Amino acid sequence: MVRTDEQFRGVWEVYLPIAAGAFLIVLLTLLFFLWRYRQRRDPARSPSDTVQGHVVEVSYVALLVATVCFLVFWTFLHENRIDGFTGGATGGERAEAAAAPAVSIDVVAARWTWRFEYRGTGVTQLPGAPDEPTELYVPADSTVHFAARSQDVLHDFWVPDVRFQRQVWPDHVERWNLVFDEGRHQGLCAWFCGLRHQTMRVVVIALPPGRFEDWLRRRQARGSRA
Amino acid sequence: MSTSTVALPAGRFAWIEFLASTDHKRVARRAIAASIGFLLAGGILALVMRTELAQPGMQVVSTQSYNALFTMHGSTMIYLFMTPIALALGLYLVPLQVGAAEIALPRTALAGLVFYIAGGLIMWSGFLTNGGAGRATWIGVDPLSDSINSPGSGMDLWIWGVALANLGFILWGICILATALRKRAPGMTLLRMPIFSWTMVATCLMVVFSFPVLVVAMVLLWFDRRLGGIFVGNDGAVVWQHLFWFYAHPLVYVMFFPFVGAVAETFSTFSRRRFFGYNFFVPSVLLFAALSTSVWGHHMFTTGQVSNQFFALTSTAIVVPAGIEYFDLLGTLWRGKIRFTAPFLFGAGFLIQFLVGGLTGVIVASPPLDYHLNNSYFVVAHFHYTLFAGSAFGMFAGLYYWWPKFTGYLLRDGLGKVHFWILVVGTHLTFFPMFIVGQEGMTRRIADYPADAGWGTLNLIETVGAFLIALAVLVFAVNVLISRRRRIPAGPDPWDGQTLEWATSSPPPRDNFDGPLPPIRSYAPLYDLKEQNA
Repeated sequence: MVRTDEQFRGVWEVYLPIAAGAFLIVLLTLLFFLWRYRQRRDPARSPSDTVQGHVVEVSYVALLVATVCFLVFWTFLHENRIDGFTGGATGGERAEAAAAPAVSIDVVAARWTWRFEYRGTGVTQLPGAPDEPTELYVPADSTVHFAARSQDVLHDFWVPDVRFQRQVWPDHVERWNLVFDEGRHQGLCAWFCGLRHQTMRVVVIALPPGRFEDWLRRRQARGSRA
Repeated sequence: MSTSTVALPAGRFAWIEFLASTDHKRVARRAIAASIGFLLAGGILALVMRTELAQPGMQVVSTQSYNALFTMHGSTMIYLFMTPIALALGLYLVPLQVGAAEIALPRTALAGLVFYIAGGLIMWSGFLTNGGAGRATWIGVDPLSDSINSPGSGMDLWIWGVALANLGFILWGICILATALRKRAPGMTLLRMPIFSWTMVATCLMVVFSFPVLVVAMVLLWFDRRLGGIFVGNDGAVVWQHLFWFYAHPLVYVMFFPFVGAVAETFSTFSRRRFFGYNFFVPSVLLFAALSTSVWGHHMFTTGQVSNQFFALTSTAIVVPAGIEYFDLLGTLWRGKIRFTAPFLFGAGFLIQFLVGGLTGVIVASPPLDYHLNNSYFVVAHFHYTLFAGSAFGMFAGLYYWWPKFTGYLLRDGLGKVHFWILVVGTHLTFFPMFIVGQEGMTRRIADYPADAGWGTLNLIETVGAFLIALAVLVFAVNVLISRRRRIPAGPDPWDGQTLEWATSSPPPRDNFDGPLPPIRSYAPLYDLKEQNA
């Protein structure tokens, strides 16, 4: 079981300082040069004739290449964990089998609502009213499998709290796994799909596994409307 | 050999000259004027969008209108402003910088202008149709853009507008490439071409290589809308994204390279040094261009349909040529004698602001990060930092720098500095908060956001910034008007330049150079001549 938000943080907390550091180095160098080499400081001085610095520049390029290697390594390390669990390109079915999910959700995206069907139970979740988010109940701290398809255009299932999204297609089923912390998590459509794109929302409600089972049983008993 | 040309008395207007001049300088000036016109139009669309987003709730426009607004804002800025003005600078300057009397294929250059303007007008005519302008984003993504989901002629007009404008750009790319390869003056080997001309060569290589894919994609989309059967079946929808991004990633570098070149020229001139690291910079620009054709899948990390690792690798590798360029730009300032003119300030602004866009680009090139940030306002901030805080500042650097060459008079330097500082404040107020709200979960292309998300204050700040940007552009317009009215003659070389365009009058005569050229022994021939005479 891999928590996608933890993997995100593992990369973010390295990338952001490197980016900030690189920015500061360039900014400070620029400001220093603008101050130190401004014309008014010493109008009589001649500007330098040096047009190249091979040793410095080659060393610098080596440093850049080393940085790229590190960034790619760091990214691949975390991406392999995420993709191995969620299922990257073409990995979805293998991921489902390997992860032995606690629940499998068939997602149907249609302009402009999300419909969630709990496989094997006959329970379906729909929004309570137009423009309301669909409530998606899941067991917390467990593997949830998603198999998603669109009935019309491209959509995208994004839950910012778990730092993960995946496009949903009309021409094939897209599969992935996620783990949710207990609590409520906002979800939304993150691929422009037309007029009511901004109200195509989800609320993921992650309950402790025992309470989730209770909820599912009650829904089954009551029938499959939300 | 050039055929005989009719010399019109200066300042006298003639319809045939206006419609059919094959003087590359006039074609370029008209393209620049049209681009600025589209900049203003696209900017007004942005102001309406920002007014709507300032607070939660729909106060100004309907969602239907908003969707057309952001589609046309993006389409106008990319297809009708930034790309043509980038290429137009090359149309004007490359023949001069390489010492040619004329651009290669002058009628082709004129045809490019006609296609570009026709494409722009056709795209905008969508607003006059019943269904309104295209509203399927600037990408025109299938299946949203197909006949079921985007019925109406507004979408078709958008498709033809985009196709025609880009056809024009392909023609310009051919002309500029042919000029650099075949019309250099004696003594100017390829490795003595100025930096700006090299960035234009790299730009046009990308244009010629990848822009035809866009034209093909648009034609296919049009056929799909008419007859169906193209983007269908398994993987039908993802084909659109492959075709489009194969074009659109090199496209964003086409909108960047000419301005890096312009800034490099201003750095050399205003630091009074030959450009530093030429022998590293030129290959790095070509490497950058080559790599740009291998990274398109980073726009598709969340599709689950591409090899994320391959595209993450190639995209992150761009750090190498980009880093080399920054090193050489800074190296040109090192031990220089820096003059803080308006064009130089815009160049320095470009350097530091584009970097924010570039570094955040490295961030979203990492799939684990992009799985969260894709299609959020973080990405909107990233590309506005590269395209606006970067390229647009580089554009102003180039405009202020070469304005005297194009027109014969100088823009006011003091007003230019006022323009610069207001633009800096407006730019950061508008685009920096977008990194924050995007990371918190605000997706893009939404006319409204939840009131309880806590994004109202930041969005309001962004809107204030947008109006400051508008004010800065207004200052620029005032500068242009005042400078036109009460002219300060510039003479051939107002900035003490280093390259051949400054070795002729301002503006240049019809065949560019009246007298003999200076001897060409390096990439800064005028600098060499002045040093020799000193």
